Amino acid sequence: MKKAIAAGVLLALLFAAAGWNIRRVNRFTDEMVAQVELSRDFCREGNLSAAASALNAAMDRWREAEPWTHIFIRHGELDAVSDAFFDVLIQLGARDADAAEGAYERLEENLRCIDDLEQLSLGTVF
Amino acid sequence: MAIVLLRTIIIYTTLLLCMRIMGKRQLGELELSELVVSVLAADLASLPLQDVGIPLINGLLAILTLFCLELILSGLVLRFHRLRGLLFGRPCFLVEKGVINQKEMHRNRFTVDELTEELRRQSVTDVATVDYAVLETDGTLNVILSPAAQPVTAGQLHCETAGDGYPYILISDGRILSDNLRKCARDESWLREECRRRGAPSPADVFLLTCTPEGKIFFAPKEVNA
Repeated sequence: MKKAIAAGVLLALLFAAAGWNIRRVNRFTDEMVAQVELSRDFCREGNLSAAASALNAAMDRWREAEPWTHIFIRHGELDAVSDAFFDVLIQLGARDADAAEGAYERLEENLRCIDDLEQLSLGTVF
Repeated sequence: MAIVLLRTIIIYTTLLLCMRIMGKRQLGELELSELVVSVLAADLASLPLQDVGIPLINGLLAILTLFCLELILSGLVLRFHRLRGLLFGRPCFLVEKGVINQKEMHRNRFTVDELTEELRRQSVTDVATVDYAVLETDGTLNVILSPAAQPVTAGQLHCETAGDGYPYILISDGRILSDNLRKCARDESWLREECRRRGAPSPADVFLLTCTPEGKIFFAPKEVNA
């Protein structure tokens, strides 16, 4: 019975860690979306160089978190976000604000998708 | 992470219930939960290995969850006897007092062919000699022959028999197993002497030598061409 209790405690700890992980993913993606949104605002104002530097800062933050994200998040989703970052940077480099707007939308959507897929819901579990 | 945990619990419970409903025939000498764990663990472990895009933690977490569930379940089953019957079923008599229990056969989807096959596997060719055939919870069939068909034992003949004790392996392929030598209360010089008496110059020339605590020895020398 001692083993069963220890296993129950371990399972409870795993659930607690999972809950903590959900909150961390949520906070991290919110932070990333906010940074991307800041860059997007610069882009809307026509300040493309400020938009690019804000986006580079966001990308640096994204890369900093890679040791953790690669352990807990499916690599396909991470690659999609990284691709979307580069897409926006390419459009900003080409000084095409309209195309950049679409790329920003995709980037934010990919970031939110990571959070959505970690949240517990009937859709994600089943 | 939480999704992996919940999915594992759901799949484990579903498989356990489905296998329980399918009956003992599916088990093949594993307890129900053991079979479910072995079916799942093999697959869960292989997925992150095959696809590097899946974080290894997903496989590890699922296996760890299975391990916890299995331990919790076996702990609960030890404590609550009724739960054991509910989850793993109870042994059932396919043959009782020499009569085939057709209802139990039908309930366990056991055909006559399968019954006779199982009996033959245990060297029983005549169903009439079977007193009891018990289908255990792990899917094995245990057969108890009628007294008339059972081999005579020394006890029934009122013969005095002395047990030889457990034969310990003292030399395995030329290697002396010192632990077993101690258990046999013998020493190496005795062993070398026994080898010499049987024509082997040293233990290295012996393929197998076993000895019971009472001193009954089995000796097999090494073949030259082996």
